[in-house]
Amino acid sequence: MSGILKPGVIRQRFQNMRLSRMLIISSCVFTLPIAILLFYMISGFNRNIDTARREMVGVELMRPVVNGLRGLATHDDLVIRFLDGETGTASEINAAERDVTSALQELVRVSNGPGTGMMTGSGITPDQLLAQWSVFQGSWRSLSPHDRIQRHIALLSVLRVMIRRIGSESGLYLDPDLDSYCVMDLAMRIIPGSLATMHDTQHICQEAAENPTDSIRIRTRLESAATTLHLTGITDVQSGIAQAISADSAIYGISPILQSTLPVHLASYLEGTQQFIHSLDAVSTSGDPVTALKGASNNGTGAIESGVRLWLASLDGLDDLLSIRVGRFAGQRLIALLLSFGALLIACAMVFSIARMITKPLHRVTRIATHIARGDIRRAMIEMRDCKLRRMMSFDGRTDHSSNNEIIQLAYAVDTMTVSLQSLLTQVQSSTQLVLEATGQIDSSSRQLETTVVEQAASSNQVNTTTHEIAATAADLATAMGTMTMMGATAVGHADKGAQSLDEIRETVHNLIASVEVINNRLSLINTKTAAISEVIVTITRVSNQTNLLSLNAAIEAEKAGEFGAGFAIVAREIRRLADQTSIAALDIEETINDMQNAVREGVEGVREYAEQAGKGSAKIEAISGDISGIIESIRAIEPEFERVNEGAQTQSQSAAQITEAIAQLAVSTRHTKDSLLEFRGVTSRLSDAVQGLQSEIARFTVAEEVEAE
Amino acid sequence: MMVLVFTANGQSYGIDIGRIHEVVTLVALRRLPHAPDCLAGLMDYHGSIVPVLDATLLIEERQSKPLLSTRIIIVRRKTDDNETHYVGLLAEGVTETVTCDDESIRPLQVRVADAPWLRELADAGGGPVQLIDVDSFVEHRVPESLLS
Repeated sequence: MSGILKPGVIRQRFQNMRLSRMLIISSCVFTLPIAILLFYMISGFNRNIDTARREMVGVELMRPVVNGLRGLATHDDLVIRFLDGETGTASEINAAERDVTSALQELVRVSNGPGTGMMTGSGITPDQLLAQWSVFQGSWRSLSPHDRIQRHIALLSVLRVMIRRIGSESGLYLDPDLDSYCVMDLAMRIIPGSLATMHDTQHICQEAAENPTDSIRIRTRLESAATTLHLTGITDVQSGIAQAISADSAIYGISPILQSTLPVHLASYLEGTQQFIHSLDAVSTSGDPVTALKGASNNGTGAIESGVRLWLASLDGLDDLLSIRVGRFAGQRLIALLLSFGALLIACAMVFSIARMITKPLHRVTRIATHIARGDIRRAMIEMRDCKLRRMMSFDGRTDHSSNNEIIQLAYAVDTMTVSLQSLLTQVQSSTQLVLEATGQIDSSSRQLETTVVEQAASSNQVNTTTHEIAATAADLATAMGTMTMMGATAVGHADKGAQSLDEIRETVHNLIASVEVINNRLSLINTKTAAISEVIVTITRVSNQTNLLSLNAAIEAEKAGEFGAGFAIVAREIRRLADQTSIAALDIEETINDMQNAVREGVEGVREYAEQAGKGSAKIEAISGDISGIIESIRAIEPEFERVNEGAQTQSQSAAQITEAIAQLAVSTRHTKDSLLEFRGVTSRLSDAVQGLQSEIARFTVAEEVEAE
Repeated sequence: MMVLVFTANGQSYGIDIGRIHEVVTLVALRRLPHAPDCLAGLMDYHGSIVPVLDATLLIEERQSKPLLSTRIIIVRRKTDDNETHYVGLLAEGVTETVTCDDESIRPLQVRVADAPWLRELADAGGGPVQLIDVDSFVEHRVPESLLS
């Protein structure tokens, strides 16, 4: 338990509560004193109302007491008149007894009903009083005048005591308000006092009428009684009523009963009292004191009656004032309750609406932040857009980005942040993509570079070996040079001999060609001749043809000539035969010529071929001769060249050594290059890792496809 | 009878010399536009225009080759107005005349509708010679209107 109640834990629990719950707790805490104050205020009102109600009960109790007192006074007067022998009083006495009984019964009822507990305690209760009255009622005829008067006075005093009890028990004596207090004072003290004085004075008159002997004492007593009456009956009452009427202010409302009825009753009361006082004064100057006393007593009854009416009127006025006060208090209580509860409800509604105004945007902002934290920027943008739309609708399109409301400011800030985040992430995504591509390219190109470097190293190695070979070759070359010089000299000797033989061959070939030329000429001559013969043959053939034709025509003419043409026909026949023979011979010659021509052609062909071959051979010999001369020349020219070659070979060896050195340096630098390439690749791989890490981080976020134009 | 022999289709054909006016060498013939193929052309024979028909085409449906032995046979044609018109026949192998005995002339025993000009078959020293009727040969494939 103590663990829960530790202040740190409580504060933590309070901080972690929802806002609405916090507000509920706060409003509960606020409501508590308000409720307490309200309770006290209402209970105050209730107390005032109860006090007034209690006083009204007191007034209700007073009425039967007044009626009782009036009844008793009337009864006493009637009894005296009855005992004096006045007629017609018996029924009046019965009526008066009935009035008293009913008044006392009323008193009992009220004291047992609304006025429960007021009349209990020490002293005589209304039930007991009723019992005493019943006893008196039944027994006054049989009592001695002294006892009867004592009993009467006892009953009266009980009632008077009851007045005091009512006044104190019901709280009338402690009436808090001035206007009702004045009326209460009137009804509870002044008027009963004056009525008691009147009653006592009446008793004095009655007593004096019974025993008229001691006139001075009577007179003194009457004078003092008159003075007292004047004081209490008139002055006090007047001033009391005046005070009451003047005090009847508008705090609780002017009582119409008080204002209208009291002065009327007061007027009649004053009249009656004045009359009574006058009659009292007249007694001392009257000649017939007994009658005067009796008349005074009668006036007294009238005064008492008017006093009782005034008393009842004042009680009514008091009751009215009290009911007005009750009404006022009840109204105030109702207004207070309505206002308080209304204000409370309004306050609660306002608190809740404020809480909603705070929590709703906060919830939205929380949702957006959660989406962003989860990486779902797209959802965050959708939330933002929806809320923006709703907000736009509520603001009639006024896109005012400034607001005094801190929550709305926060919402705007979050929206701006979301949009910026969205654009930032999009950019970062694209940038990382580009960087990754670039690193990939760098990596591949560096790998290519590496392979190139490796190849370079390999080729430089090759060059190295090649230079070694070159050096070796140069040395070999130098030794070979010496051998070659020797062999060169021998070759020159051989070549000279060869040149001579070649010359001889050339001569022979030239002769051959010349003879071939001759043969060619002869053959072409034959060809020309045969061509001429062919021409002749053609001519012969033509002639033969013409002859044949001629013979034909001759034959035809011969036939036409008939027998005369027989010899001609023979001639024609012979001509034809001649033509035929000629053509045959011509054909034979042509054949022979053809054969000859073929033979000649073949011969020419053969000779040509032969000449061709000879020509080719001659050309070849020329070439060979030229070559051999060239060889000789070059062999002759070799010797200086050998020197140069020797020198060159030496230079080559030196260069080879230089190349080897350079190659070694190249190899070293290639190694350096390879190392730096490796380093470079390491760097790019690290960069790639970093970018991939960033990308994977960013991949958590899902970005919206299109970007809103603000 | 004496017959002038020419070759066509690898065989010898003969024309009665009595109908022949002359044999001339092959000359350049003037060709006529839109003339039938058998009309080889026109030749100038002693100042007059003579139409020349190609006998080889008429027999063998092949144009005559311009050999030395290819000659033009000028024949006489009888017309209704009793005037002699000459027609030339271009033929190959026109080199000899043969004399046929009457006993060696035998009738053909067959009729060829497309060659109504075939007459008898004569036997000369060198082999059989198909005799030809000049008129029908000339007029067979050539309409009358062509030869005025």
